Amino acid sequence: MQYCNAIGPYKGGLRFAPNVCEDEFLFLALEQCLKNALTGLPLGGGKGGARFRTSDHSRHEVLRFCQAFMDEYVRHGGADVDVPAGDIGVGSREIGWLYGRWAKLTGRHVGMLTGKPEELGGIPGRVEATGYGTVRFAMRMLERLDRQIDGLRVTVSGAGNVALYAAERAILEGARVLSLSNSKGTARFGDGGLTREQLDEIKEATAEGTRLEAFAQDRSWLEFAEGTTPWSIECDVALPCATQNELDEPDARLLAAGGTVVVAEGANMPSTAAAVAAMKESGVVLGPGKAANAGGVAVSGFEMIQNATRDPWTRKEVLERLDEVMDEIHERCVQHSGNGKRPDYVRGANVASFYRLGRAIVATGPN
Amino acid sequence: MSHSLFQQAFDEIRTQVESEDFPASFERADVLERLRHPDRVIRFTVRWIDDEKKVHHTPA
Repeated sequence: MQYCNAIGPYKGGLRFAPNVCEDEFLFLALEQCLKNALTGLPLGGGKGGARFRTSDHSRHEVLRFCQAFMDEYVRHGGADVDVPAGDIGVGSREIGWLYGRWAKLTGRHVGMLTGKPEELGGIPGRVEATGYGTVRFAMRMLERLDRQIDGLRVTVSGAGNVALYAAERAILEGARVLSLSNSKGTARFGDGGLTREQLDEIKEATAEGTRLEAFAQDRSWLEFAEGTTPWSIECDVALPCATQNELDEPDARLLAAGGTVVVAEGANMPSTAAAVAAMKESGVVLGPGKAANAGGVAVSGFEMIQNATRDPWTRKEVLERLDEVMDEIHERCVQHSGNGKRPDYVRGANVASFYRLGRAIVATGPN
Repeated sequence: MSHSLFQQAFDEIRTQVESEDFPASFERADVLERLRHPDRVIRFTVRWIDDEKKVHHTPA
C-alpha cells in the first residue's frame, strides 16, 4: 500500500498475520501518513504485508517465505522509494532475511528497510522506540496538567514490544505499572507495580514464545485474569498498546470514573470513536496514537539517516533525539489545538499533520 | 459503529480538519480528497515451498 509520498519515501510497517485485509492496510497506511508528517521527518506513508502467521512456521519456512516475498517486492521498493519496517509477525530476524535477499538480488547495501539487525545497518534503540516514546509523550501531557509520572499508577495493555518497553520506561521514570495483557486476558501486578527484574523475566519468556497466561501459572507475583482487559483497574495513566479498537466507550467511562488523568495510545487507533468522544466529555486527556506512538517511525527515520550518511549513531544519541522528537510532536499538537491548558490532542495531531501534508501537496501542484 | 477501520480513521481526520481554517490553496489542491485514496495498491502472490516440499501461493 503506497499511500502518499508528498513529504518523503513511502514508509510503514510490514505485517505478516493470518487475518489482514485491505481495509486494515488502508487504515494503517492513512494513519501512517499523518503520523509520519507529525514527526517533522521526511517520511511518506505506506503499509504492507501478507496473510501469513509467522509463529506457525518453522525457521526455514519463514526464511523461504521472506525470500519469496522479497523476490516480488524488490521491483517496488528502494531507499528513496518505499522503505518498510517490521510490524506484527515481522521482527528483526525477518527484516534481516528480507534485507539479505534484497542485497543479493540488487547487489546494493542501502537503507531500503528499517528495523534491521544492527549488523546490517540497524540502529540501536529501535526496539524500545515506540514504547519509550509513548511514555515520553504521556509525561509531557502530565506536565501540561502540572503532574509528574513519578509514583503514578499506570496500566498497560498488550504484551508486544510496544507494551513491554512502555512498561520499562514507565518503571524507569518511577511509575507503578499495574498490568500487561493479551487477547486472552490481563496480567495484574500488585499495588507496588511490576519491578524491572520481573519485567526482564517477562521479556525473556515472551521472546521465547511463552504466553502471559502460561507464564503466570507458576509465579505468585502476578495474577492472570482471563477474559478481562486492564481498563477496570484504577489508574492515573492508561497506555493502550495492544491493537485497534481495544478500548470502547464503557472502558472509557470506567477510566474516567476511576480518576484516570491521561490516556496515551501506544497502539494504532486503540480507542473506538465512541470511546474518544466519552473521554473528551469526561475530561480524560487523550494522546492519540498518531502522536503518542510516533517514536517508532521517528527512530526508523534516524536509521534511514544513519544508512544514507554511513555514520552510525549510538543508543544514547538515538534515545536523546527520540525524546526531542516526541517533545516536538507534543508541542505541535498543543499549538494546533489552541494552546490551552488541557489541549485537545486528537484535534492538534490531525490538524498539525494535515497542515504539513497539505503544504507539500500544494507545493507539488494539485495533481 | 462503522465496520470499516479505514472509514473510522478517515472520518476522524475529516471531522477535525473540516472545522479548521486552512489556506485556500488547500481547497484548490483538494488535499482532503487526495488523502481519501492511496497513490497505489500493489498486489502480488508469494509462492514458497514448505518443509514438506509443498508449494504455497499466498496473496500479499
